Amino acid sequence: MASERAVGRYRTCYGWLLRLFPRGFRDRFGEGMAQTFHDLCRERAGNENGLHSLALRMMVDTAVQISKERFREMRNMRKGVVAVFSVTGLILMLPAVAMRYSDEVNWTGFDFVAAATLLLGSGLTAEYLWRKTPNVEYRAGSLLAVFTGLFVVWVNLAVGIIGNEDNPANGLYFLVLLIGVAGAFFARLRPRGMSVAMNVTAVAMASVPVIAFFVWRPPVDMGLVQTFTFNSFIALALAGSARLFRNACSESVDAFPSA
Amino acid sequence: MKNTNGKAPLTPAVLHILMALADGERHGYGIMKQVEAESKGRVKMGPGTLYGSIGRMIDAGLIRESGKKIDARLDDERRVYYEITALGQETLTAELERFRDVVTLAISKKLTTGGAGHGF
Repeated sequence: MASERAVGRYRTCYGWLLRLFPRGFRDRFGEGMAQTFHDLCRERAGNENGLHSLALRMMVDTAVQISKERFREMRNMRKGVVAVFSVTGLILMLPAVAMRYSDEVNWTGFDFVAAATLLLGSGLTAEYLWRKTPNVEYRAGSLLAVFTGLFVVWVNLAVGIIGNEDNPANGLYFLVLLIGVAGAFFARLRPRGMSVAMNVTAVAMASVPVIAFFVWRPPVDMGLVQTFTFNSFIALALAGSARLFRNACSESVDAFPSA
Repeated sequence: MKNTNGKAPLTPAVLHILMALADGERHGYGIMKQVEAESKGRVKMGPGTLYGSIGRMIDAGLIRESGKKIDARLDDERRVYYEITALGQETLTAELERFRDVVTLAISKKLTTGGAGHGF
């Protein structure tokens, strides 16, 4: 009886210990490890001294593995972050080099800072979402959403989507992206919620030229055909992302830990 | 862990897990007991070492979850069973051949009798 209580106590302690694993590893193997630990303890339940030494040995073994998995996680994270910084650096080198040979490229310090912020922000977000789950459709949906957002902001800041960059109607695009970010936040990055958030964002994106048309009527230099074409393209990309997230829903919920 | 075609030696844990799975699907505890039995109690893995190795072996394509479900009345139906893949089998064979070559060399150099008694 005393042994049964000891087994129960050790199981509880082991459960706490398992919480120290990186979430991905714990979701994959936590239950199996807890079960195996329980089987081993039950095997020794008749011999209390044997049970104590076994539990201690297993906990030390697991603690060592926790440190290895944490180290691996940090190493992988560092690789991804280094890749994002390297790609950002390479992209920013293009205008820097072009400025030396052409007068048509004329970036200010502010332009470089804004571009670096955008590229790093979207790159690190994509990297985080990529590591979140091995699900291919979730990853593809995330990349499509993040880089569509980056494209919209980049084009909008550079030349403006509706008319030119000074047109106040272009501010609507930032509101649309805010809807997407807020939706992702409320969905806690889970695929079903992300699918809804991206669909809503797609609808909002498609509505931008219509709203701009009525609010800033008559729209000056709106370029109706180009604007509608561009918006349809972006809305389709967001709807595609929503579809990918919806496909990812068939994956076990455990594969998508909350943010 | 380098595993392709047995070009690099396997870690003891990986080798023993592959040996344990070579003759059938097993769950984590089953692998542990099989390894202990096959090594006559000399190799004892904890759940950390076992599942850490299992994770890396799945990622390397040496083993996979088998999808086997057992009768809930006989055992816990949530148990996950693992099985060896074709690549795992190939890697195990290559590793065992490497061991055989080493033993053959040792015998030729009269470092061991190659049979019972002293030596390996």
